[in-house]
Amino acid sequence: MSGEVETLKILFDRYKISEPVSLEQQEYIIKQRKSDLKDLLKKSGGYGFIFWLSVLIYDSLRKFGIQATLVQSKILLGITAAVIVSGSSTGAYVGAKYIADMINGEQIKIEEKIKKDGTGLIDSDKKKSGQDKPSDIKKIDDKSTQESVKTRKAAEKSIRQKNDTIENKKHKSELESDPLSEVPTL
Amino acid sequence: MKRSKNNLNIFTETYMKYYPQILSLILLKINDIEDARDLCQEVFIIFYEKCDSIYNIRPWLCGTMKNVLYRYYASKNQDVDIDKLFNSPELAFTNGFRDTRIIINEAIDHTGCDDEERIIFDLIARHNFSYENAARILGYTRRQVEYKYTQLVKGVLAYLKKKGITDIKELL
Repeated sequence: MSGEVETLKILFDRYKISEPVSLEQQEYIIKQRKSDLKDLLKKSGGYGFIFWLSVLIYDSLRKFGIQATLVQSKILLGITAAVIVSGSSTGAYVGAKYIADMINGEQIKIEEKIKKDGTGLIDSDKKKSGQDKPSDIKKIDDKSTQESVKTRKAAEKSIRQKNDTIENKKHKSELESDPLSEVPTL
Repeated sequence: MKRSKNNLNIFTETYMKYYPQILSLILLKINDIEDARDLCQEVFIIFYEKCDSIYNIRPWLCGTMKNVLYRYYASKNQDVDIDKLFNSPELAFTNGFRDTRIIINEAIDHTGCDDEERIIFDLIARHNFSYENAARILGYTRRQVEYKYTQLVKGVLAYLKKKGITDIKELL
């Protein structure tokens, strides 16, 4: 078949049907195509940043041999933009949350007033860290943070667990103390 | 001069397909790349204004190119002869091989190819574009372009056979 292609080429040359363009000019024409389109769209008032982005997608898809229309390129651009926006906003949110947790977890300083039995209020202005034992905390000013509430809850929970374990032990010992003779025989 | 978005899409797709061919033709006529680019832009600006009322894009672009080139020559030389100027197979047939050229051009027109196949044929057969460059312009792979071009050559040869030219070497 390449023989037929060659023969047709000779035929075209013979009858001056072909008007050859040099390889350098071919390269130049292909390179100028996009920049000339940009100029032309600017001149005619059809240029827009989003439209130009869709043209770039259209052109780059075609470079890879994908026959997409300009409308399909616009849809692809829309999807890509939506994915990028949602991804980056999620990333920013997670990052901000992580940083906030890091800052809060390091050291929380709470100004508190400790009330001693019978002696009344003691303005201690004591600075306590968030890791202090919750049993020490008797009264927290209006400035109380979520962290102190959390520690209080944890302390209550641990007390409840201790009580549960004591009760379980008692129950076990009662069961063990029951004499076997009380078991009815057949 | 604002156009609807659909027209803008049609214009852009047409421009991307036909720009290399139109610029090549203008460049072959005037041999000045900067002027050729300006004239090519002029052709496509006119197309942009009228693209919603054009059905046969290729003949329309060639005709407009002829008018734009004529105006360009007329601005430089008042006594320009349009027939001499466009002595090309694309626009006129006025040399010694007239009949054969008409048959060959008929064969090209009757191959039943679509717009893109016609562009492939024109770029490779007429303007000597390489398969790679034609593929870059139209967004195909090299192999696809080569295959399509081979099929088009087959179509042209089949038409010539129908017209009584059994061996292409008879014409050489």
